[in-house]
Amino acid sequence: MTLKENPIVELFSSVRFAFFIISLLVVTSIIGTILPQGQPLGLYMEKYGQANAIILEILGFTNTYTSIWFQSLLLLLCLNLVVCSLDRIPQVIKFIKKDNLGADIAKLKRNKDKIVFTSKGDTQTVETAVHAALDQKGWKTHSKRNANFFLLFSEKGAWSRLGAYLVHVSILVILFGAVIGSTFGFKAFVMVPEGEAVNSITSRKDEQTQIPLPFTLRCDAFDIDYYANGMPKEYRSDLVALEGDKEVVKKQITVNDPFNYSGLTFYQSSYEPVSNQYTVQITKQSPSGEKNQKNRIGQKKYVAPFKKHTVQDYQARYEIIGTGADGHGHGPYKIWFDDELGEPVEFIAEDKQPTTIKRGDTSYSFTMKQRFATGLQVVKDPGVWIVYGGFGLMLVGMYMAFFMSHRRLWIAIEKTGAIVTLILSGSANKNQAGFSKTLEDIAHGLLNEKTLKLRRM
Amino acid sequence: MDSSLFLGYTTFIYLAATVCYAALTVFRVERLGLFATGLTIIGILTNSIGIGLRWNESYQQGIGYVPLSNMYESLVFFAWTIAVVYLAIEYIYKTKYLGSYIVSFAFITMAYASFSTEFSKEIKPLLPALQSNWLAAHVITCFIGYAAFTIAAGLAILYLARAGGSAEKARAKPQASGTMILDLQQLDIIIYKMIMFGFLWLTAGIVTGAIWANSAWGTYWSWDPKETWSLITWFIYALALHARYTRGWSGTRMAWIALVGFLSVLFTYYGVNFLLSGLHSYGGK
Ligand code: HEM
Repeated sequence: MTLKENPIVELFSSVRFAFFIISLLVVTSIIGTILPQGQPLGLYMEKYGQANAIILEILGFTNTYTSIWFQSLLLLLCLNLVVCSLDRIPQVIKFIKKDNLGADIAKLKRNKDKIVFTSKGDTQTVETAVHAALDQKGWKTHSKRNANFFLLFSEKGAWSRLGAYLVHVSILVILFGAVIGSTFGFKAFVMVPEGEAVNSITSRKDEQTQIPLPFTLRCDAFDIDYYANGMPKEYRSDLVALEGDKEVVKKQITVNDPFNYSGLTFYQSSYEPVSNQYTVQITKQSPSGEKNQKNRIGQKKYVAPFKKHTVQDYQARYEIIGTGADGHGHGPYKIWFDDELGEPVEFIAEDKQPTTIKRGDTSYSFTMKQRFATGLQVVKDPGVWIVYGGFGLMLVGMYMAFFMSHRRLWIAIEKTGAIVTLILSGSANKNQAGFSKTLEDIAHGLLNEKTLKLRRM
Repeated sequence: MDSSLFLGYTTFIYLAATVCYAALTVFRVERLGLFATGLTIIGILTNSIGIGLRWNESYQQGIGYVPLSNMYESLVFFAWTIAVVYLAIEYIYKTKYLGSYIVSFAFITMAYASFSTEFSKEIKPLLPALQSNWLAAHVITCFIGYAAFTIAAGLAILYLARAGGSAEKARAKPQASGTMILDLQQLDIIIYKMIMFGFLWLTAGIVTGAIWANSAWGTYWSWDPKETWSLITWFIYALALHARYTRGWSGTRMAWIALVGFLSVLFTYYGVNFLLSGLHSYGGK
C-alpha cells in the first residue's frame, strides 16, 4: 500500500473533509457566540438549569474557543491543509514548469480559442516580425523549430497558479504565530501611580503570579483630556524605562499608541485615582529674584489633603482644605496658604489651571490635580509579527488566486506551398473572456504590421 | 451647505436613477439609459461630497475624524460602495439591465440611514480606542466586502426567480445593446465574481480589524461575538469558493450559498449589535 492509498492520507487530502471541518467550525462558533463565554458555573445554572449547565461545562461550551475539541478542529484543519497541499503542489509546480514547446500543431488547430492568418511573405520575415510584435506587447517568447512548423510560445502569470496554496500556507503561518504567541508570550497588567516605578507586573492568567520586569518602569504623569461634552478624548501616560538608575527611553503613550521596550509592549488600558493624594506644583516669581531663574518651575509633589505642607524653597505653608464636591478628582480645590509676607489666605484653584496669588511684589502659582495611577496592559507576544506576515501572505495569495490568471500563447507558423499559415492560439485558466480580448488585440497588432501582409481567415 | 443636505439629495438621486433604469427596461429607449447612468454618477458625486463635508464638519467641531465611525456613517459609505461597484459592473458587462435592481439597494440604504430613528446621525466625539487609522481602514475594507456580498445576494435572488420561472427562454432574446438581458450563466458568473471580490475585501477587513485591536489592546483576536461572526461569514464564503472551484457547484446552489452568506453578513454587521454583546461600538447607541 503506497502512502497515497492510505485511507487516512486520502481523507486528509480531500476537500470533502475540509467541508466537514469548516462546517463544524461554523456551527460550533455560532453556538459559542450565543452562549455566554467564560462565566462562572453559577450563572449558567441560573440561566439554563443545573443539569444543563453541568453538561455545557463538561462539553466545553462555556469556554468554546479555548476548549480542547475546538482547538483540535483547528488542528485538523491544519493537517488537512498540509496534506492536501503536499498532495497537490508538486503537480501544480510540474504544470508551471511544463515545456509548452512540445505542443503539436494538430492540437493547436483543434483549439477553440484560435485565430488563423495566411501570408504570402516568406517564412523568415513572418517569424521575426511576429517575434517582435509579441515582444513589444510584453510577451517574452521561446521558440522551437519543428520538422514542419515553427512554434513560438509565451506565457504570463504562471505562478499565479500557486495563489491558492499561498493562502493555505498563510493560514498555517497565522495559526503558527498564534501558537508561538501563546506559548512563549504572556499578558499581564500593572498599576503604576504617577511618580512611582515598578519592577514587576501581574499575570492575567493567574493574578497571584508576579512576573519580574527586566528593567524598571516609571510613570511620570497620567492625564485625561475631555471633549466639551465631557466625554474622554484621550488617556495618556508618560512612561520611562530605566536600566538601573539610568533613564533609557521615554515615551508618552495613548490608547492607540503603546510603548515597546525589551520585547514587551505597554498599552494604556485603565486608570484609577490614588485616594487622598493630589499633585501639586508651585512656582514663585519675585522681582528681587531676578538673579534667580524667572518663572522657576516648581517640582511636582504628591500630597495628602487636610495637612499642612511646607513649600521648601519658599518658606511658605499650604493645606488643601477642600477637594471638590464631584469626587471624581476634577476639583475645584480650596487651599489655605500662609507665608512671612502677610496674613494667611484661602483661595480656590480649578483643576489643572494655574492659580496665582499675590503676596506683595511676589506671586505664587498653584497647579492642582488629582494624583492617578495608570493601568497598563503588558503584552509579550513574540508571535505577532509571524501573524502579520501570514496576513500579508494571505492577501497576496488571494489577489493572485482571484485576479491573476495563467495565460499561455502559442503561435505556429507553417509553410505549405507558397502560403504561410499562422495559427495564434492560447488558453487562460481564468477570465477566458478577458483573454479572448487579449488574443484579438494581438491579432490586431499583427494585422497592422504591413510587412507581414497577413490575411485573417 | 452642510453634509446632511447633500446626503439627503443623494437619497433622491439614487431613487431617480433606479426609476430611470426601471423605465429603461420597460420602454427600451437608449436615452433613458444615458440618463440613468448620469444620475448614478451624480449620485456618487453628491454622496462623496456629503462624506467629505461631514469629514470637514467634524474638524470644525473640534473632533476631527474619518466619517466612518458609527452606524449612520457606515451606511452612507455602504451606499456609495454599492453604487460604485454597480457602475463597474455596468461598464464591464456593457449592460444597464441590472441597474434598477442594484442601484435600488443604494437608495434603500441611504433612505434607511436618513429616516431610521434607531441610531443617531450626529457627529459625536470618538472614544480614545476608536481614534485610529486602522479603524478607518477596517471599516472601509469591510464595507467594500459587504457591498459586494450584498450585490451577490441581490443577483442570487434574481437568479433564483428567473431559474424558477418558465419564461426564461422567451426573455433571453437579444436586446438593444444597452438593455441587454444577461442570461443565467452570465448572472452566475457575476455572482461568483462578486463573492471573490467580497471575500478578498472581507479578509482585508478582518486583518485590519485585528491589527487595530492589537494596537489598542494588545490582542489581535479575542473571540468577541462580532469578530467571531466575521470569521463565520468568512468560513461560509470560503466554503462557497471551494464548492465552486473544486466541485463545480454553480447556478442555483451557488445562488443559495450567496444568500446564506449574506444572512451571515447581515447578522455580523447588524444582528450582533442588537442580539449579542461585545466590544464593538456600532449600534443604536
Ligand atoms: C478556511 C480555510 C481555507 C481558506 C480561506 C481557503 C482559501 C482558498 C482560496 C482563496 C482558494 C482559491 C479559490 C479560487 O481560486 O477560487 C482555494 C483553493 C483551494 N483550496 Fe482552499 N482554503 C481553505 C481551506 C482548505 C482546505 C482545508 C483544503 C483541503 C483540502 C483546501 C483545498 C483547496 C483546493 C484543492 C483548492 C484549489 C486549488 C487550486 O487552485 O489548484 N482549502 N482555497
